[in-house]
Amino acid sequence: MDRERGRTYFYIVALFSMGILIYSFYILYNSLTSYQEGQTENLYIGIVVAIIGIGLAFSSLTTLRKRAIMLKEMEKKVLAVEFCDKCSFKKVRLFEKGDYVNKKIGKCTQCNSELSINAIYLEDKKEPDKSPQRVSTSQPSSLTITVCSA
Amino acid sequence: MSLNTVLQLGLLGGLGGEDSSIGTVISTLMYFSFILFIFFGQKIQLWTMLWNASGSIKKLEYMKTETKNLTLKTIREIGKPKEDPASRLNSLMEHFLISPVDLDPAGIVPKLDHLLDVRDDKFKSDVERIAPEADDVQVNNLENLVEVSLALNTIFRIVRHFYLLGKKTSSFYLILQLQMILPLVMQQAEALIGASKAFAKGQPIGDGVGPLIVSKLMIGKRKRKIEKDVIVAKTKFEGRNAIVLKAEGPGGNVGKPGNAVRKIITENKGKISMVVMIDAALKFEGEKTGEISEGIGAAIGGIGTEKFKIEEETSKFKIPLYAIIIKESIQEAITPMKKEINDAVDKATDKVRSLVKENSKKGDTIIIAGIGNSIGIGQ
Ligand SMILES: [Zn+2]
Repeated sequence: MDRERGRTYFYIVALFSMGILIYSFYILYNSLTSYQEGQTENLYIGIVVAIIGIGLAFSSLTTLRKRAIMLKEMEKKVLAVEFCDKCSFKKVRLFEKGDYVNKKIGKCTQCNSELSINAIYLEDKKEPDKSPQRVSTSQPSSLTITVCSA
Repeated sequence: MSLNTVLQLGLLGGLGGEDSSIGTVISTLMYFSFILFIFFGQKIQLWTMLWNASGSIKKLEYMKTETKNLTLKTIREIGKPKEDPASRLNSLMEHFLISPVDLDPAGIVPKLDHLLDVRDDKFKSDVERIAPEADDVQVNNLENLVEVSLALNTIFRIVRHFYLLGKKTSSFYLILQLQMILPLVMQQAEALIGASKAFAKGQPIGDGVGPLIVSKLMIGKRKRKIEKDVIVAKTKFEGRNAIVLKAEGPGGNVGKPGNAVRKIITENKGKISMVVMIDAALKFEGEKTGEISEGIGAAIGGIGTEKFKIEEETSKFKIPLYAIIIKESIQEAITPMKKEINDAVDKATDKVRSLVKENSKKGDTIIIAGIGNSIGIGQ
């Protein structure tokens, strides 16, 4: 639930900064038109206020963006690959405590020989989802993908 | 129309011509701030730098506390201590090592090596004491976790020291130096946070790519422990008798590959035709993670004692020393292993294969050493 609240906060701040950004441009535009009508004071005030507003909005948006990237990095999951040397049966699942590379985890369901963990790595979100091992992260409990060439 | 007018007005508007009172106020303010910056520019810069640094220090303190809490939680979970581990952890987090005197540097390496051994044993026994229920693998992982807490604590203390010192003396150059290194320090601290999570769970890290490659060569072979925390196996590799070694996994360990290489060479009476070392190495910005390079020399990081032993032993018997490195950033080296790094395993093995074929004959005895932390990597 904490993550949910963080996300709402994130959107509120983003929306607010966008509002300020748009409003600053509006002020700038207004002061320019009023200058054309001969009101010099409005121009000065308008420019100063608009520059402050745009600056603030930009700085908050860039920090938000940085944070979004960081959150995305942190949400990456560690995967473990179960692999059978004999029949190339492969299963990608979430890392569990106690897993390690080369750990023997029982019999292969396809050919009954030794099954072991072949690799453990951080999931790669950039990778296109065209590969046969489709990884769905929305349902962590059912994150098992089986590929068997035999 | 407007951009030009705005520019002209911005530059000239306040300085004259206009009668408006606001124009006068603004121009006065401009003059005033100009004078202010001439006389107090450096002071203002100092304040902004101090302000920035204080933000970073708050962040560092938060990171330090978070890691400490994670360490305590993991110790309680795994070790089931009877008494509160907090006080002993606190004292471990302030632990230090006084390096031997280097006025007369000859023979300094064995002294340093000895101190490191003592430190290692002390850490291990302390961790065993605060986590009595933990098994060997978990003790090693916890030890690594405590090391991360110690590192973050040290970074925090040093940065705070220079910040407070700069504030006290108002020394521009002191703060400037802090400001200069702070981005790199923060990067390292963030990497350590990632490392703490990996160590708490026992996940392989990027630095483990060397042991990972060698572990693939060890599958199904008879293994023995040759030195403290180093595992060795004999295998056929392209028709050569390969003696492959890695740190003992899956606990977090780097072992003492220097001692192991020395022992293997002595056991074979120096009749080794080549030594290949595989290690993760720091990439430059702009280089791709998981790229592989080959070179000459002892590919091993750390304080230098293991490197010294390997160089000494191989030069004594005139054994050629080759290095294969897998490039990664400092963050990638201590956070959970990226897919690119894992994918480099096969390519690196091929590189070792061609290197061995080109530089040794069939029937030769060679050493292949996978250097790095073997956390989450068995054999
Ligand atoms: Zn199978």
